[in-house]
Amino acid sequence: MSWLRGLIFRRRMYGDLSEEIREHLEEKIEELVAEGMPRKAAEAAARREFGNVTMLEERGREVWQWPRLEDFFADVRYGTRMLRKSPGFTAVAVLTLTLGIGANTAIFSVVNAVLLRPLPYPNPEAIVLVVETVGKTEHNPVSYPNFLDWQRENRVFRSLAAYAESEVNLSSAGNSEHVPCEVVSASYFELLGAHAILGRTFVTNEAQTPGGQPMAVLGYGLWKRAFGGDAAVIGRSVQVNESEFTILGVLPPGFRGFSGQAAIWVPIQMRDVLWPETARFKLLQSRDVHWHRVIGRLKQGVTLNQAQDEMSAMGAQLAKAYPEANRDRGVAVLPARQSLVAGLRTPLLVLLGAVGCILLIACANVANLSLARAIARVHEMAVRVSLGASRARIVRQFLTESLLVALSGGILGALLAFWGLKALLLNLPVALPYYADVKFDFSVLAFTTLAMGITGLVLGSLPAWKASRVTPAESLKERAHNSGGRRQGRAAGTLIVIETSAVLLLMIGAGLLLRSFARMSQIAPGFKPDHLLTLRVHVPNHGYTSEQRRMLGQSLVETIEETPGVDSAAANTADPFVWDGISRAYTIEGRSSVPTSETDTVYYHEVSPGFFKTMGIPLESGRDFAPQDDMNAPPAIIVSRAFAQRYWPHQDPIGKHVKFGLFDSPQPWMSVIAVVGDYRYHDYLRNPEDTPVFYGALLQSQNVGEISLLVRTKTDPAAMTELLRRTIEDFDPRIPVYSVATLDARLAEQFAKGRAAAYLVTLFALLSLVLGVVGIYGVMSYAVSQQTHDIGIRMALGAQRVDVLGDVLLKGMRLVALGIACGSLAALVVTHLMKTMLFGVSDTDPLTFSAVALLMIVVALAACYIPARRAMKVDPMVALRYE
Amino acid sequence: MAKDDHRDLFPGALEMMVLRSLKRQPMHGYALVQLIKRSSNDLLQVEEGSLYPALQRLLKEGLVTAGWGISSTNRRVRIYKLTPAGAKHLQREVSSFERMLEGITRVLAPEES
Repeated sequence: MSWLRGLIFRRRMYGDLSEEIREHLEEKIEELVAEGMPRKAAEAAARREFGNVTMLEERGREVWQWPRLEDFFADVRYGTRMLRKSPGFTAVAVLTLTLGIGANTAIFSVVNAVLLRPLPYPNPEAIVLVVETVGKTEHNPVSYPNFLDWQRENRVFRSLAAYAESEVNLSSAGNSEHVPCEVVSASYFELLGAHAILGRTFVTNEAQTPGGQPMAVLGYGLWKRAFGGDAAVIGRSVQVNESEFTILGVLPPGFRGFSGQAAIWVPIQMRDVLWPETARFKLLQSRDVHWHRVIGRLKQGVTLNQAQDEMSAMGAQLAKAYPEANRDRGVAVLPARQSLVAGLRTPLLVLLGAVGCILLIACANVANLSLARAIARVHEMAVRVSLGASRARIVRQFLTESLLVALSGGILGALLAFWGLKALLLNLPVALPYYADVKFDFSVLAFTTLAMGITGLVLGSLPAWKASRVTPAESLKERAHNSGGRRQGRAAGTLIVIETSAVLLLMIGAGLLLRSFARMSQIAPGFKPDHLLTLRVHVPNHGYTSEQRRMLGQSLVETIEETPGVDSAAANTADPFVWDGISRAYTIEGRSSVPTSETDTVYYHEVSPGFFKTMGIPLESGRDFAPQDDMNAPPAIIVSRAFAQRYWPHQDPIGKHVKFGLFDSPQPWMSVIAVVGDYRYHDYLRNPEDTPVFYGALLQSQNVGEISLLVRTKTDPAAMTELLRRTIEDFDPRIPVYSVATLDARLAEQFAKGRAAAYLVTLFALLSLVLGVVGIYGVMSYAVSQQTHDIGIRMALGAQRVDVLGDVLLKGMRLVALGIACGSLAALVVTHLMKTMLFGVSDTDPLTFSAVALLMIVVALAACYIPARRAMKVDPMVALRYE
Repeated sequence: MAKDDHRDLFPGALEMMVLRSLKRQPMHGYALVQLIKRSSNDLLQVEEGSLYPALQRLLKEGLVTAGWGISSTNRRVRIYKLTPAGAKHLQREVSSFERMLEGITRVLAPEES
C-alpha cells in the first residue's frame, strides 16, 4: 500500500509546488508594483526573473518521480493516443508486422523443435552416432564383430550400443499384430537413459548368449494397447515371430528407441530366433555383413574430435587386421542429431531465411510509413522542443511508439503463428523427426520478443533520428512539406532498395525450388505407377516348409490374380520406395571380385514371374522368369540396363554368368536370361543409372522372409485394399499384411519434401512480393505528394506531362534496378546454400534469375506508374496555390 | 530566452546555499532567493525558479521539511526548515567545499618568486 500512499502524497506535493510558485510570482509582482512598476510590466519581469515556469515546475515534480519509468509510461500513453488518432497507419503497420512476426515465430518454433531443442535423453550432447565409412559415403551400417572390437578397445566412450530396426509379428491371445521393433545390445537402454517403469530391461549377459534368452521389453503404447496396461504382464509369454518370448519390462511413455519407431525390444542375440531364415548370414559373427547401427555415449570431457581420432585409428587398425571384410572402410563419429534431421536442416534454415526476409520487408514498409508520419509531425516535434523537451526525450517518444506497434504486431503475430502452425503442420506432408514436439516454449517466446524488439528499434530509429534533427525555429516558420524532401528521399530510397533486394532474393529461391519441383514431377519413373497397389506380407517361420515358403509368393500371386478387379499381380522381396532390397557381394565371370564399395550401390531383388509385366517395366531383351524357373532349373538372373552397361558395355549380356560371394565362393554360376529397363524403385530422386539392380527368381530363393505384392487393378487401386487384405486372410490368417499403399501415393511421398519446401517458400515469396509492391508504391506516392509543389513549378515553366511521368518512373525504377542488382548478388551467395534442395536445376540458373528480375521490373513499374500518373496530372495552378 | 553572462553554479552549490540560509532561520522560497541574491551582493545570478526543483530534491532527501504558514508580509507561504540531517549534510558539504576551494586557490595562486 505504500506506493498508493506515495501517489496520494505526491499529488499533494505537486499541488503545493504549483501553489508555492504562484505565490512566489505574486509576491514578486507586488514588490515590483510597490516599487512603482506598472502591473503588466511587473508580471512580465517577474516571469523573466523566474525562468521557464512550466519547465521548472516540471523539474520540481520530476524529483518525486522515477523519471525514466514515468517518462516511459507517459510516452506509452501518448503513443497509444497518437496511434489511435491515426487508425489507418496503425492498422496497416500492425497487420504488416503481424504477418512478419507471425511467420517468423511459426517457422522458428519448428526450427527450435527440430534443430535446437536437446534430444529427449539425459545429457544428449554426449550421444553420438558411430558409422562405418566407405570412401566418402558415411552412414554405413556396422558389422557386429567390428562393433564388439570397438566396444572392447576404445577409450573414449562410456558405452557403445548396437541396434537394428525391424518389424516383428506379435501375437498374444489369438491376436496378431505387426509392430516395429528394435533388436538391441544390453547397453542400449542405459546409454539412452531409459529405465523400465515396470519390471526391468536386459542385463549384460542376457544379451550375450545367442538364442539363449527369449525376452522382450514392451513400449508403453503397446503395453497399454495390446495388454490393457496390466501390471501382471511381467513374466507373461507372448509370441514374437511365432517364438515364445517372456515379457521382462515396460518402458516409460514417450520412449520409442533411437529409431523413434519401436514398440518392442528384443536382445540382439535373439535375432536368429526372430528371423531364422537369415540365420545363415551369421549377422552377428560375420565381419563382412554390415548391418547394425551403433550409438555411443562419450566419456565426460571427451570431444567429438577426440572420439573421431580414436575411432579413425581403430578403423585403420581393423582394416589392416581384416582386409577382406574391412577394405576401404573407416569409422566416423557423428553428432546424434545429424542422422535424425537428415534432409530437414537445409529446408528449415532456408524457410527461416525466407521469413526473415519477410520481416525485413515488413519493417521497411512500416519504417517508411513512420518516416512519412514523422515528417508530417515535424511541427508537433518543433513545438515540443521549444517547450523544453530534450531531443533524447523525443527520440524515446518515437521509439516507444514504434515499440508499441511492434508489440501489438508481435502479440497478434504469436497468435497467428499459434493457430497457423497447427494448420501448417497438418498440411505439411513432411514427417518431422520423432523427438520434434513443436510447441511454444521459452526459446520461441524469447525469439519472438527479440524479433519484436529489434523490429521496434529498427522502425523507430529512422523517424526518431529524423525528428531529433528538428530545429524548432525553422520548422515552426515554414511548414513541413518543403523541408522534408531531400533527406526523406534518401532514406525512403534506401528502403526501396532493401525491399527490392529482399523480395528478389526470396523470389529467386522460390523460383529455383519451383523449377526443381517441376523437374521432379516430370521424371519418368520407368514403370506405370497408376492402378498399382502394393502390400507387404510376412512369411511365417513355422508351419511352412522351406519349399512352401519359397512357393508362398507365387501362390499368393495366383490367388490374388483370381480376385475380381485385379488385372495382374506379382511379388518382389523389396518394398517399393520403402526398402531398397539388399546388397550382396557378387562376382562376374571372367573378372576379379567386385569391391564392396561397388556392390554396396547395387541392389538385389527376387521377383516372381510377371513382375516386370505387372510393373510396366520394358523387357529389353531375353525372356522373363517363368514358373518353370524353380529349384529344379538352372539358376537364372535378370539384370537392369545399368547393370548390363556397367559390366558388359559392348556385349550381349544374355548368357553371361554371375555368382554370389567373392571370386572363390562355392555358389553356383547364374545365367543372365534378360535385360530390363532402368526404373526408380528406391530413392525417387536418384538416377536409376547409378543404382544397378539384378534380379533372382523368387522360386529359386535361398530364403524368404518378407515379400511385397504388387497388384495392378482395373479400377481405383486404393478401393481394392480391403478386398485384397481379406483375400490374403482367407488364404492364411497367420500372414500379417502391412505397408499397404498405392504406387501413386508412394511417388507423391517421394517428392513431398521438395513440394512442401517449394510451396512454402513460394507462399512466402508471394507474400513478400505483395508487401514489397505496397512498399514501393507507398514510397513513390509519398515522394510525389511531397513534390507536388516542385512539379507544379516545372509545369508552369513549360515541362511536358510526359516528362514528369518519365521522371517519376525513372527515379523509382533506378532504385528498383539497384535493388535487383543487390538482390541478385545476394542470391548468388545464398542459393548456393540450398543446393541440396535443388533437383535438376543449377543454383545459379540464369533462366530463374532473369525471369524473376523481369517479373520484379514489371511489378515495380506498375507500382511506380500509379503515383507517376498522379504526378503527371498535377495542376500547376492548384499546386502553386497550395503554397 | 535571454542570454546571461553569469556563470552556472556547480552542481550542489544551490542546495548548499539554501541549506546554509535555512540554518540561520526557516523561511519560504521567495525570501530564500532574495537572501541568496542579497548576501552574494548580486554576484550570483540565480534564476529564481531553479530554486524550486532544488527545494524539492532537499525535501525528498529529508534534509529540509516544509509547512504552510503566514509570512511577515501576511502571505500564505510554504516555510522550509532545516532538519538535523540537513544540518549534518551542510557541515559535510561545506567542509568538502572548503577543501576543494583551497586546492583550487593554491593552484591558481601566483607563483612565489
